[in-house]
Amino acid sequence: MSQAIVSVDGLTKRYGSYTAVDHLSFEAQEGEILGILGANGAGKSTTIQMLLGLTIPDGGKVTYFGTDFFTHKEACLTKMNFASAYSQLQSRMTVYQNLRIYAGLYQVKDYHSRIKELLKLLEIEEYAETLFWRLSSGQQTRAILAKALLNRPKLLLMDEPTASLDPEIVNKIIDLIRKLQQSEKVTVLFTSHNMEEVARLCDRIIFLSHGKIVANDTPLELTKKIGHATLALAFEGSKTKISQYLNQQKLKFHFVNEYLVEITLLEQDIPKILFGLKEKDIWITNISIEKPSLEDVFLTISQDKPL
Amino acid sequence: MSWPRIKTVLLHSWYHAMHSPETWADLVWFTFINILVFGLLSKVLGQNSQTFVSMLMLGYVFWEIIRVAQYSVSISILWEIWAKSFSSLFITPLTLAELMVGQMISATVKTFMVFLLTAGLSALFFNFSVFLLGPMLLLYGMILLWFAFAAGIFITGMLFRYGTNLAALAWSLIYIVQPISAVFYPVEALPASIRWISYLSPVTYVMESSRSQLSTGNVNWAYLGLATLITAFYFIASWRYMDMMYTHSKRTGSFARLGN
Repeated sequence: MSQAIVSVDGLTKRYGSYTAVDHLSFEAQEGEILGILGANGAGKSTTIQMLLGLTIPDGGKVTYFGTDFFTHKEACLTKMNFASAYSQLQSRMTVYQNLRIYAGLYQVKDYHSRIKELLKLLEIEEYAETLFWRLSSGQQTRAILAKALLNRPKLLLMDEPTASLDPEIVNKIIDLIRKLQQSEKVTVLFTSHNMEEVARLCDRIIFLSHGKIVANDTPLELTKKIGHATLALAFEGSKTKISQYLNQQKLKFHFVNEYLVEITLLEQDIPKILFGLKEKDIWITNISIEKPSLEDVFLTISQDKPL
Repeated sequence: MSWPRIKTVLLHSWYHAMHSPETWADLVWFTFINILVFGLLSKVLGQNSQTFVSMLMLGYVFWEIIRVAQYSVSISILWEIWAKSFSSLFITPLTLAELMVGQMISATVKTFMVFLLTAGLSALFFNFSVFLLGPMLLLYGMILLWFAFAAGIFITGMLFRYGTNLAALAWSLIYIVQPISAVFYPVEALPASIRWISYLSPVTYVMESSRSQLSTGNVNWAYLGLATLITAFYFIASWRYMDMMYTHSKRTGSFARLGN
């Protein structure tokens, strides 16, 4: 059985009468990529801030690598790192100087070759001597990622690390995180507003709402919980006939135009409905099925609806 | 406390200064212009009396020790907040104590450089050598430096507590000390009813003793003892205040917001 790298137990944060994080408990295993998702105000940022030691919780315990974080901060922080598009490097230093400073703070041995290796890996070698503020946002994000990997962390917290990046770079970064997971068994806590990215990268996702975990599963299992799919049918024939049939079946539907209807239904009912429409002599000219996505899960939870 | 991490803070300070013309303007350019203006003004007002010029120059050279050291300690946190790199620093193993010790060492180096500039210019242009104070200069300088550290640490605590709303205090708050600390004139120049306030500032004792040493050759050891004690008290109290504000801002969540 793999060791829990992160163990959060009853983590709570209150601001006056408002409870931002409410007895949050979860674990992340070695080599696991765990997504933390939630709408604005769900408690995601406060959770990340407490996990980094930037905010003191009102209750609960955080354990990294089997060590209590709040009493052994230095030992824990040495083995972890953080990347966020919103937490920058010093703008008035070059990329190399910034990395040199963080290498010193993490006491990275042979820092020069490590910095060169990371600059090459993230394809920003040519910007080593460029001041950080002169970089494009994509280049800045890659420099921040280089900082996050300097100390070969066993745990990486990533708060929207790919915000402002173009899709090609996002792909490369996702591949890189996957490689790190496989080759170095790095555990990653990952947040993003890009659901496609989260679905591709995360092994498991916890959804927060009002400071509590409301869902905790793999991306596939979470989407299965949504159940319904959207069936879009282009047809030739009578709109009235289709309405009658779908009403008989007690399905939710709406006509996009005179020749296109969208039906919300359980995935397993699709063949039955298609067959039924054929029997009513309705000629289907095109079929498109939209399966539930992680975005649907996100929207359902954000609207406080049950999964 | 890790010495390699403190060394890294010093390196950080050096790298930053290399790319910050404002730092050099604040430290060197203003000092250069001000000492020329002060020197010329003292010559005119004192009708070329060397004693008058010397007293003003002494005040200016000593005041620059306080200004530069305090500014250097306080401003470093602000540079990180403005660059949005504040959070990144505090999620490394670096501790607040290491950061502040690093900033104090860096401030000492900058202050020493500015001191050499002011001492050199006052000797060159206005025939006043602060080195006439002999070895006592080291003691006076140390008291002023540690008082400046205390002020810088106190302001850092205020920045933790109130954020960048109070950023201007980083370079302006210290001036509250100047009129009541007998920097350019003796305590007697102040209205009798408020003179007691002067004696709350260790700078007053240093200035009075150094002026007395220059004019009579006598060092007021009692004053220097008091100045040392008061400075030690302010330093400990400021550190405690900064620590409390650091914890307070982490409890209220404002610390995390400082970095964004």
